[in-house]
Amino acid sequence: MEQNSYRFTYIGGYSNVYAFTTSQLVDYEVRFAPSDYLFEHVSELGIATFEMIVVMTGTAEHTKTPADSTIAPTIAAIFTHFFDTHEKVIVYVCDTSDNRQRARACKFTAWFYRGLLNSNLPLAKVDRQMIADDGEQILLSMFIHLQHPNRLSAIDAFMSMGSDEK
Amino acid sequence: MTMETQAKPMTGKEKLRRLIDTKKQAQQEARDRYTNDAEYRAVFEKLREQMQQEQHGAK
Repeated sequence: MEQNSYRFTYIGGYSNVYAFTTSQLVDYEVRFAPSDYLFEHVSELGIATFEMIVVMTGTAEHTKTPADSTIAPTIAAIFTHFFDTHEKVIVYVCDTSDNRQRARACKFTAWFYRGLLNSNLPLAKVDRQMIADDGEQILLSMFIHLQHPNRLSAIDAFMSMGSDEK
Repeated sequence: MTMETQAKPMTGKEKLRRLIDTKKQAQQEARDRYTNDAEYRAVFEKLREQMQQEQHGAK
């Protein structure tokens, strides 16, 4: 575990669930849900894809909690623990349930650079925007190991997803 | 004679919708589990105990 991060537990299961509690006793779950459907059109590349989802389990949605600088390195430590092979690709969807998703995307990017870059994990982060079926703009990030055997093809598949649709 | 139907590949928008729905479903599921699943809740109770012990130990 990285320095200055909270202790976490791997619960496991199909969705690869992790748990941690903050010093303010706020409980979090981080899960990595298998999402191989994302790259089914290039299944020959064998890209093992997971959607990362972070949930405050013990509180209602949008509950305001005190700022806590240890959460970012903890999520980064969990990410590093899960990202144990070069073949995994992780996708993160910025929360769209209110109008603050761009602020969250900035926060998420900040923890990525603060937390993950200290972990010595050679990763690339690729960001893009997509328009959902209801017209909403969605921000997506993909993380891929720099030594992934199909790195460039996977990035291309991610960036071109939906480009052939009007 | 049997006819086999091939699954239609998902469009980009369908994949995006599934990502969004998976996230919403996971958020709801985690909160429900926290309320209703004693084993799951016990994991957090243990983490809280350890946290409190560490906080006391640090004083």
